[in-house]
Amino acid sequence: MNTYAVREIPVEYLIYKINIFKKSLFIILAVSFLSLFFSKELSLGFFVGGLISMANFSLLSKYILRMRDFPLGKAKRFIISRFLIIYLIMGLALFIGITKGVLPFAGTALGLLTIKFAIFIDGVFSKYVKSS
Amino acid sequence: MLSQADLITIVCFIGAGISIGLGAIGPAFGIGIIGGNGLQGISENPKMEGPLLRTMLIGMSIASTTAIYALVIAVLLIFVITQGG
Repeated sequence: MNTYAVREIPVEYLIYKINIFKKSLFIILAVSFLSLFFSKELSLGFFVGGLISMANFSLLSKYILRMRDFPLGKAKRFIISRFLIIYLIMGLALFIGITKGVLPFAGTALGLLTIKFAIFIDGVFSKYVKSS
Repeated sequence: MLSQADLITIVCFIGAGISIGLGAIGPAFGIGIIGGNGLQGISENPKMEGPLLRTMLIGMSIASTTAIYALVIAVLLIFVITQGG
């Protein structure tokens, strides 16, 4: 039975994760609401894609914390295998999106990139707005 | 003799396979390298664990973006272009 040593989670890591979640939730809600005026399916696709993106980001952050206790080679294999699982989840989301019609697929594909937008906005915000 | 539609379907599936295969391998290795080097940095300087873990998270999230693009192209090739004929 594998037992993992209980180690504290760095506060900076937690704070950053929460910030990214807040920003991505704001992006998802704002874009989904605005796209309602254009197409309901696009809005739904973006909403679902965004939620999946947030779930994948949460999974990735948990895997990184688990990886701390592994030796180097095992850590690399662990994170690669878990990344491929996350990739499969995204593929499943896109497959479901495409079987419903082309428009939800576009929204879902855009929604899967929500976390990247949130990270970019957080970087810009912390670099330019806080320094001014 | 293969019709034009069959040929397009075959080429689309081959393209989708190449897109997924190559598009996933690169980010997967990149993420492994990020993880390994990040852990090495933490072992050398445990006080910097917080910032290093944060940087690893950012790097891994951004590295997976290319994989998402490849996945989108592959799904488009399989489900949209082949159905369109």
